[in-house]
Amino acid sequence: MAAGARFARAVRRAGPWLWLLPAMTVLVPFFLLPVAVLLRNSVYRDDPGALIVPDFVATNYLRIITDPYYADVFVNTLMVAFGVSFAALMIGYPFAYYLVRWAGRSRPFLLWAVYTPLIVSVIVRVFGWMVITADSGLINTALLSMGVIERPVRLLYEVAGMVIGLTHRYLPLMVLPLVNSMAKIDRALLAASVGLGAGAARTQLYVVLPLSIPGAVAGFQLVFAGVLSDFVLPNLMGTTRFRMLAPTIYDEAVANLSWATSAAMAIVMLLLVVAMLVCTNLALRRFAPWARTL
Amino acid sequence: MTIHRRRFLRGCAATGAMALVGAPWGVRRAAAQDLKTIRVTQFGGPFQVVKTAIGDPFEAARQGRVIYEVENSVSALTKLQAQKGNPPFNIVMFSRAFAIRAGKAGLLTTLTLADVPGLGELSPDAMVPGGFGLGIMLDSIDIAYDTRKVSAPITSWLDLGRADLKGQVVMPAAALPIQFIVMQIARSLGGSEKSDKAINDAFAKLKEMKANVRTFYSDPIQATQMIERGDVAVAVQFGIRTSHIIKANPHIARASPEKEGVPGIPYDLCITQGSDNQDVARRYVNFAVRKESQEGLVRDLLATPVHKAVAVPADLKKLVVDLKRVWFPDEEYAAAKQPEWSQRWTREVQS
Amino acid sequence: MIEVRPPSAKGAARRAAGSAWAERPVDLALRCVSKRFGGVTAVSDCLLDVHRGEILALLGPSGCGKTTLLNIVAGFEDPDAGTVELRGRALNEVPPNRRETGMVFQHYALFPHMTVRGNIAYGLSARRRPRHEINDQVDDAIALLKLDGLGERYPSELSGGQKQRVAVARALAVRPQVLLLDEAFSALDKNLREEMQIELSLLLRRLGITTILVTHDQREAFAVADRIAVMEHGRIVQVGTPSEVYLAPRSSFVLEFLGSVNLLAGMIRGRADGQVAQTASGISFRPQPPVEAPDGAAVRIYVRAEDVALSRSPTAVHAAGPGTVLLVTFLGPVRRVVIDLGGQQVLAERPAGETGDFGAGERVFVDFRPGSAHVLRDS
Repeated sequence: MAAGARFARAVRRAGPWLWLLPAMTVLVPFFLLPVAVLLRNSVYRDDPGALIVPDFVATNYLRIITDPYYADVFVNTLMVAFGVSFAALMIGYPFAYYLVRWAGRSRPFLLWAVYTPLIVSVIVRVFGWMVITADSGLINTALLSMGVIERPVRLLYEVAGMVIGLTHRYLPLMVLPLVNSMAKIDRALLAASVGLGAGAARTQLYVVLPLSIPGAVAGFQLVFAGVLSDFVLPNLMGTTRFRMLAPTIYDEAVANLSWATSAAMAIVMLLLVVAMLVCTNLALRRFAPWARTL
Repeated sequence: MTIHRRRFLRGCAATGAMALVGAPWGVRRAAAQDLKTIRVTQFGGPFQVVKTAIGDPFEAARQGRVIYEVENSVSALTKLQAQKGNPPFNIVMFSRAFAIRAGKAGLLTTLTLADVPGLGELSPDAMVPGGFGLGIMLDSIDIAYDTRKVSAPITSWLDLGRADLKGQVVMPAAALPIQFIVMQIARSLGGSEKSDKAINDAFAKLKEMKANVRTFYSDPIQATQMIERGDVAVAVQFGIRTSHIIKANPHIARASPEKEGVPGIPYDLCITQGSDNQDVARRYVNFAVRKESQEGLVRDLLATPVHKAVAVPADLKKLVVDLKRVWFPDEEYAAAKQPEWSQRWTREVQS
Repeated sequence: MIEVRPPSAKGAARRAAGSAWAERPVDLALRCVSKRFGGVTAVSDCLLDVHRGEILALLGPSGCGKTTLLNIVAGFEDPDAGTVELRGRALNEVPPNRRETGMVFQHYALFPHMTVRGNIAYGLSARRRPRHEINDQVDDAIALLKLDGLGERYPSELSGGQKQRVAVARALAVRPQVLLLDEAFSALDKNLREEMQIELSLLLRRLGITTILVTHDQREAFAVADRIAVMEHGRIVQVGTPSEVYLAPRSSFVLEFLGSVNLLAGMIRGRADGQVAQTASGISFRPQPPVEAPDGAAVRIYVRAEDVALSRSPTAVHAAGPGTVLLVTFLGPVRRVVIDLGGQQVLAERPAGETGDFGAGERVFVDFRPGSAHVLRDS
């Protein structure tokens, strides 16, 4: 009887933690452990004969930091991540605003249009983009037949094609948090602003814009992290002449069988993402202290 | 009456269900029940035909049951490494460099001459150095070109640098076996692929060719799409994939330069270290190089056979790479040089 | 609509008190304002004058159109018909940001991303006032609304009462010609609400600012407003001082909406010495003034709960059969007694000391002053 009661009490005390169990059973073996393995591999030594040799060296990291080739890769990737995040913000912001403010009956359709890229496999979409952006694709055929250009504009397998693909892929991750933050803006705030003498532009600039910053920051974080680690689009729509991080890690692991070096690069990539998250959150805290209480 | 009808209906339902699922499955299971099962990887895509060419006859001959899994050399090697000692497959299909690497890492069992009774009927390079596996077909790296878009047919690897092909060539990126292209260019320039100077010359030549390259692809399907769409005139492509391209597109031809040849890549079956049913696995490897299986691979996969007595049918002659044009790189040497060359390729060629 | 004749002789004097406002200039004039949403009439043909310095309450149940009318004044809604004039200027074509109105929203609508100062300064910045002037006026508003020390706080760091002060300060900072309060007290707890009602009515009177207060709470309207406009189904059914609308309701709706009212069925009995109305329970009295109804006509008799008198013995004036006390509840200053009178429930509110000894189950005689009953003929 007492044992039963003790057990019941133990279960009751453990109760709240049990809610974490399903997530933990997925996160621990499939996320934390791989990261731990990656961390371990990054201090091992690459051996041309036998893949990877246990060791504890910093050479992999030193190589990544000192070799200008890798510096280029990191600079390229960060540039594209910033660029795509910015482009997604520029495209996503008006879209989200229209969706929240004006779209009445078309709202479900527009939302669906945003969601579709999340539902359709990225490979399928890449093949779609290929058909459109290829040298003999829709865009070029149209421009050629209209006489706008004399020879095909190179989009596919160039930085431009990759950026188009990346922007399309990650746009939903920008739009959804924006829509969320804009939908939370009380209409009475807009009325209050206008009632206090502000015009539409001032209301937009001083009320809607600042209040959608948390959504924009969340969207920026998601898009930035996504682009930083994207492998498919640089590979299938980009060019090897403009190296991106994820394919380089892949090449390092697969072509060069340098697992340790690739692990070190992956860790650096992870750190970049973490650094970006910390920086944006600090900025948000500094410039929008009210956002935490929303 | 009611009961009768109900019983009748129930009988019908049972029969129907059996006919739909139960019966064929039941029969098949009965036949396969006493057979040992092995798991074998293949590359997917066109390589699915290994089931009809090898696996099904193997089972029909009551040698064992085969379950195929799709893995490329990289993913298979990764999994073997990750599950060392308890491999998820009995047999892995590797392209040769990976067979050697995996073997040296202790992931594979070795075959002896006694294990392959028919070795004498196979081409001389069929056995993986060190006995880490047995080649069952040959792929190669070749050049496919659009006859309508080139001013003159491609007859040499050095034609890739021709002035009329500016922006008209696609080449593989570093994740694909570019070491053979480097060696091929060194040979085409008249040097030895094992001489560092010749390799340096080859890289210099490749750098010259860069201007002609529209893009360096990381997935072979991209090369196929681009040449089929007409975006480019010339694609450096795997031989088997080239065969499928020219089969579907009459205006696209295979270069297979006559004097220089093309580098051959054996695809090997390797038995994993620590897996069970090693006897069945060895039977399967031997079964794959038997004449009938080899004929099937030629017919369905358009692969070059390793069995010397298998003749390519006349109607397929134009599609399948002629063994006479193929030279075999020293895979061990290539494997040793691969990291260095791959790095040079990423930095000097595809950049 | 049912018209009720003013029952009281004091009505005239009260009307005079209400019309004192008429001497002041009209600040805001609504002329035949109407508004429909789809097939629903929200505001219908509203006529209203709000005089300078007056606090006018728009009182009515939810959905009566009072907020719509306020939004029309503020410019958030366009009327379908009619005009709105503010100090002689027609507002119909003036966008909301060019009207000199200040609004306090039901949930205050404070900008969550701005500090208290930022919120108060918002309207001044929008008017592009010089920075020092803005600072001075914000300081004034902060002092006026007793918000000292809270200037750098964000709205999420304020209590409900503080939020309301900020909302009022923000609306007043722009020196509006008319202040609009939309259910501005409803988000507060009862005690705080009454405190703020007193404080705000004192402040608004001191500033002499013309104010429209929208509320569904009769006590609030009475506590804050100089005059009350009662609305029903989009119409303004009566305008007057609180005592006017309470004591001289012009319709059964106004009557029933203000305070707790007993509705007793009855009929008219003509007698030689004059008209007599009798309730179903047998109470007879002379309606003052008389009702235009023939002998035997069914009438409805309204008596406010506080006008119901109770006694242990039959009363001289309205002798009738006794009722039974069902329930006595203590409401602080008064006791509420629920009585069963011939099958009908009657509510009486008596000063606590007076009814202290009534208990449930006791027999009790019900009575009321003839002048306090409103008699209406059944339609």
